[in-house]
Amino acid sequence: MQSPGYYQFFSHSKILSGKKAMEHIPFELESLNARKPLVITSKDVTDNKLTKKFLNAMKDSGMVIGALYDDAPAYSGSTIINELSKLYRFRGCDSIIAIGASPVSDIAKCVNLLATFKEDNILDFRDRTITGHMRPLIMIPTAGLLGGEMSNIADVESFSLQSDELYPDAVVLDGRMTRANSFMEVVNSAMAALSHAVGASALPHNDPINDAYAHTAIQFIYDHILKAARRPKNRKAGLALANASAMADVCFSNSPRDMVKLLATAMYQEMNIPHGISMGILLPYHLQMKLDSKKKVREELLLAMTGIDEYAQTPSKERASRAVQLLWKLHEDLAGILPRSFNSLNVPRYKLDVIAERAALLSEKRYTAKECLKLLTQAWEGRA
Amino acid sequence: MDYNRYPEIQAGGKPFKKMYIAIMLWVVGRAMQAAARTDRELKEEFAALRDDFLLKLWVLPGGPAMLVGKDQKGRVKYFGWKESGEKPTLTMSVKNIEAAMLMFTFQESTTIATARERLVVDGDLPDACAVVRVLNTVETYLLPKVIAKLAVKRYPKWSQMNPFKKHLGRIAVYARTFIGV
Amino acid sequence: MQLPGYYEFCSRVKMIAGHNALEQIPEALLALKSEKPLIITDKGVAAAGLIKQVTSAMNKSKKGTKVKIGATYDNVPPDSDITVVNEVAKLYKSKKCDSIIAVGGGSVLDTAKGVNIVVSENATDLMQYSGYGAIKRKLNPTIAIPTTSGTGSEMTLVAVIADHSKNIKMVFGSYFLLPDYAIIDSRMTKTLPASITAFTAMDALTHAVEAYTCLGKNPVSDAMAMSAIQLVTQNVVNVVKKPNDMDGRLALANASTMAGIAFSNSMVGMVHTLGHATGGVCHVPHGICMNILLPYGLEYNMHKTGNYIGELLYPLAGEEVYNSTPKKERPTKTVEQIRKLIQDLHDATGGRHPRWFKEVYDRDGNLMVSREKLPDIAKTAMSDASQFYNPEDLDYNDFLWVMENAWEGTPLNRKKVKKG
Repeated sequence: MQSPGYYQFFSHSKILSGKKAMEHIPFELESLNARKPLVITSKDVTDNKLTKKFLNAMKDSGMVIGALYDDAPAYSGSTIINELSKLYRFRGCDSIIAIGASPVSDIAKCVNLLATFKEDNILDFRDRTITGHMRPLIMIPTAGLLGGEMSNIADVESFSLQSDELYPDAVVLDGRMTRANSFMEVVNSAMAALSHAVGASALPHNDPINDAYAHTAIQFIYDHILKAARRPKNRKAGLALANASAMADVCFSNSPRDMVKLLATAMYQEMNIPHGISMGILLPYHLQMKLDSKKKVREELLLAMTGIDEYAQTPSKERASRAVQLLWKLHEDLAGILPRSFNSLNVPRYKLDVIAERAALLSEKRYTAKECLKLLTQAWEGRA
Repeated sequence: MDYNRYPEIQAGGKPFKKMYIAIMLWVVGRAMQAAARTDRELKEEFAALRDDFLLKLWVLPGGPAMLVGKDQKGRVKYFGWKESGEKPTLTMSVKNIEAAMLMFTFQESTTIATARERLVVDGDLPDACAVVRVLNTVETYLLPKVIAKLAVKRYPKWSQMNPFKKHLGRIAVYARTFIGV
Repeated sequence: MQLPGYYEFCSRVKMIAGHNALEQIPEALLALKSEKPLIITDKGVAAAGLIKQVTSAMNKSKKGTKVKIGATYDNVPPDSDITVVNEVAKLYKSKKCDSIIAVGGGSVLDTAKGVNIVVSENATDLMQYSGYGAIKRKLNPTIAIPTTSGTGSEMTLVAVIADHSKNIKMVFGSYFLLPDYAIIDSRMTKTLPASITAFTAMDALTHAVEAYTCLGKNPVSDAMAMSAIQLVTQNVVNVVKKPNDMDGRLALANASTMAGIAFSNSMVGMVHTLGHATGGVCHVPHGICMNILLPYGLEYNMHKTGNYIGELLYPLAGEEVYNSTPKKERPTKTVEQIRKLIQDLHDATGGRHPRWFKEVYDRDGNLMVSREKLPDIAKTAMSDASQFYNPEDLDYNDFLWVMENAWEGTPLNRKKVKKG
């Protein structure tokens, strides 16, 4: 095991996971001195009967919900954020419960900012350092997570806010809420989580705490993704993958965005391809490239993927390449759901330059456009 | 935004589950009283507790509840479901009605429930250990082995070795619980 | 990997770790909006020059503001006490401090937590805040700098403060008791004597092992525990032999913190039950009790958690031993490995690191745990709640039997364990 180096690490959220997890929410709010939440969610959550499940879980608690807003749009815009903060104050709310995936989580974090600091316009927070103690925020993720819901990052329109104050106080992972509806939902979320976790474990400094979260995320994914992809409604697998997303979000919050993430972001902006799918395509190419150019690939990835027995039996020199092999294997096992290359998604070749440049720009000089293009091209061409 | 589209919502109730828990707490409270008079080991456990021992086992946020403690003569008594002036020396608060259901349908034993953070224990913590042992014994008396085994870590040997004692003891506890003999 | 039916996990402390972590304190204080911290420590830490190191590192830092220490209190006793808490709180208020920097071991960290309750809530009766969940809002800023590796108290949401006048121990439990920052700097344990290095590392090892094998286990705690165990096993003997091995010191410090995160989220079992009791009755340092009792706890529980114990063979012994040991034999091999580690530490410390209770002597050469005290210890253990997280039940006779073997140094005869 590598010796720990210099690092800084923080994860604020309390994780509650398992049977009847939602029923613990009133107690958690009470322990944060809150009793009247504003609930923010989206229509698809209500249509999937999940809002009803949430309300049932709150029964007997005596809780008064200030308002249940389930019209959150598919875009975290400043207008809706500003409006919701007014509703929060109008009803005398003292906390927020967010149910769903992005952008519900982004909207909720931003509303919480306005509510805490008693301000009216989220755009005023752009480029501001956020300090101070926030009002309570509880996150109940559903399926179809895009990554980052439980992190310290909130996306607003065209910019992002990042601060440790943006972490939810509690993340409630309940099997009733995390069942997926489609294979695509499962794979999109799982690949986003896997990439975040793998990316976080490739930090130049040795952060054993971040490693522990990454390890847990990867383990959850490898143990359950095939089950979940075959039967999206499998409750146990859905809950395990939600756990993986939660752990991966912690890693994501504590490490810079790697090339895979940046390319996926640029790809989404240019071609509207979901982040998780892009990351799922890019990940094995990225690690293969590192292996081939003799750059470090952590052998501990294999431990997370296979468990102690296979890891211990694999000679140390071969562990990194075996881990990469397993990434390729996963790619194959998910054939039909996870595309093999960007070419097969009809991404035009001429777009690759623009996407690579955008990714390099987002990296703030950590990566060059040339490096990004190299990886992107390989992932576009596909494996022979 | 039309605020009327998003009214305030008062969380509803779970009256049937609440009633079930109320009944179970009554049974367990009375059974603790009964077992303390029947079982020698329990008598000793209770004797070692403080003189003003008063346990409140209840469900947040508003009940139901069970109070069991020692009366002025040092006897173990079920004091009903309402506090009446004396402050409990030990409070075991189950965080919500569903957690209570898991405990009292024996899907989660007291020990598992504690390990799973389903309840909060406050007050004289050493007494809590005695109470958990008492609850385990009471459950062993009240429940058939197949269910009791779910509720306790180690099914007590006395109940396996001495069927006469086991059955007699069981009858006595049942009688005292339900008839108040 | 098993997903537990239900679990909770929270590790809400900002961590800064490294060889130069102390230099980040001014920046941390700036982020906490604090200008006048109170330093709380004990005489041992001060005498080892650690407070000077902390303050000079703070002054050297280019970032943050130049820090003015409000006051320093260096008289915290080995057992956190309410009179001391009130004394320190008075000092905090009189000097108008606005944050606490706690530099020390478990007792200093607990005292700091107690002081924070008093000054933040303006409490006149600390007892009012005892129990779990009584504190409902953020307290004043705190920075914890552990000087042993260790108790992991910088990561726990619990504080135990004794009121010796009433002969009671008050327990406080709340997420708001967690420090804002934990600074893990290798310099803080550099001068730790060999024997203390050994048993505090075993304390951390026990936390991690119990977190991995007891009833509250959960996947995140498991990952932390595994890493902690590996870091201890790979470094403790080296560091005992070569105290200036700074990478080793840092590794042990990290292990202690990770073990602290693990056990504060999955609780501990009978090793702590008996350890607390032995500490309470015979005043044996906590780490020594942990070290002696750990193999016994594993032997006792093996019929229930053998598979988990077997998995620990990998971080404890490495892949060669793991691979060459058949699966069924791994649990017993794990216990052997731990006994071997204890023996190695015994040898490396010239016999000062005890292997069993009849080897534990105080500074004046008196036996600390006499055989006659064992029934008292077993009785006291009956009142410790940690037993409920233990995989197997224990009654008075079980506690006594385990203590008798741990006193003598004889392994448990597992056939005699009453299985549930």
